[in-house]
Amino acid sequence: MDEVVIQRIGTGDHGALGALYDLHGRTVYRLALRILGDPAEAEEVVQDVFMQVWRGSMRYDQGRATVAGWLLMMARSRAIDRVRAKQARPIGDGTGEITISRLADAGAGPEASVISGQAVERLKAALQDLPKSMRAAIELAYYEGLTQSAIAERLGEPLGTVKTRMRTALQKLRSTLAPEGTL
Amino acid sequence: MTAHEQFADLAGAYALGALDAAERAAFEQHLPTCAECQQLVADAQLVMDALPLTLTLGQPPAALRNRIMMSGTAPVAASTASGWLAIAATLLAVVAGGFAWTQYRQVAASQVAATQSQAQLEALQAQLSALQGQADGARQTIDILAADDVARIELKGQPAAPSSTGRAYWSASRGLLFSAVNLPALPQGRVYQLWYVTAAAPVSAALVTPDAEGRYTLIAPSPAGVTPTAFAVTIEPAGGLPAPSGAFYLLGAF
Repeated sequence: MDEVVIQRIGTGDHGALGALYDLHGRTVYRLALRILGDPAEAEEVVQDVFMQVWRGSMRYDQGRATVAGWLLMMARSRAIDRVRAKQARPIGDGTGEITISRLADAGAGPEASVISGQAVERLKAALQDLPKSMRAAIELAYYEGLTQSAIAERLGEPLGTVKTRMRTALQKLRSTLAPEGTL
Repeated sequence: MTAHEQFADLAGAYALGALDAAERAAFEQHLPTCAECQQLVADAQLVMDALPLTLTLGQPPAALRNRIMMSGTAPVAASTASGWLAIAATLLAVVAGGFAWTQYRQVAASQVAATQSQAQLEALQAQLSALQGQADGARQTIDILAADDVARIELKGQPAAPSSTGRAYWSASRGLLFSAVNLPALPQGRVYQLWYVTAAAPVSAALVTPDAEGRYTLIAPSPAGVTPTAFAVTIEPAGGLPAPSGAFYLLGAF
């Protein structure tokens, strides 16, 4: 479905742009709002993402991500860039540049293209069940773009502890999505 | 400890973009050689794609969709319409979009500054729906101007109002875009009425109440079964009449 919509957008089908927005606009907006905390800025990010898709200046690579993952990756990257631009000092690894990874070319392709409502509910519950420090590690990395070192500094914990917590937390969260994935 | 075990702790953090530069470089060298790490990265990616779905705060305003759709329209309109109509449609989309956006930013800024009482939220919603109305109007205007069957009709001021002029863009498939300038101020208890003049009887299109400077604009869908041969504006009693009775102020035929 998503891939067809992207193809139609590539042919200049205006209705397909609306369809893509209707499918993913709200999630993209909520992600940008969660990162930026400012509705007007979140809207600018959403508009920027969808306009780039429409103009074809960002190409979708089916082998690297799902369409939803691609849109969210663009929105996350732009929103975190904005937060960093507003901050006086560079954070993370000190380069000041966004380093959100994507699946490497040699890596596995995108998995489940649709995450069911039940899986989302399980994920929500699992997030709530995580120990506070574990949830903080995931959220600081995902929503604030912090590196593990920066998270360790922020939380006042040893780097090794943060690394272990992040891995354990990701495993727990991944297991809630298992029926749709390949585990 | 195997090579994989050394790197397994980094895979999730790599997907999250949470590795320091040196670790990232080392992991990227290892990744193509390790199916287990590739799976761990894919697993973390799946979690990352699902995390935003757990967010429940925030609802994008309808105006945002309109803005995206409107900015998306411009190149399409330019390629399908022809001549100055295409230029007019494109310019209108840009101007209307910019105007709505500027206003929306002001509203959004005031939203953040204000305490979010119910009354304020309601006022904000009213403003937003007004903006959405403006955006819809701009979209309808573009549709009419870009329609294959659009015709332009100039309306001339009649003896009652020689300096008044009007212009209608009529598309049977998309609707009517009408504007008038220099309409004289209305006497108390009177209103202007716009008519579709047809081969049968005239059909009322709208009651026309110009602004203080005598300007009026209307966007309306095309009424079923009406094939106008001309457009006319007359002066009528307040509330209008089913058929024209007063003096003609503007008149223009195809």
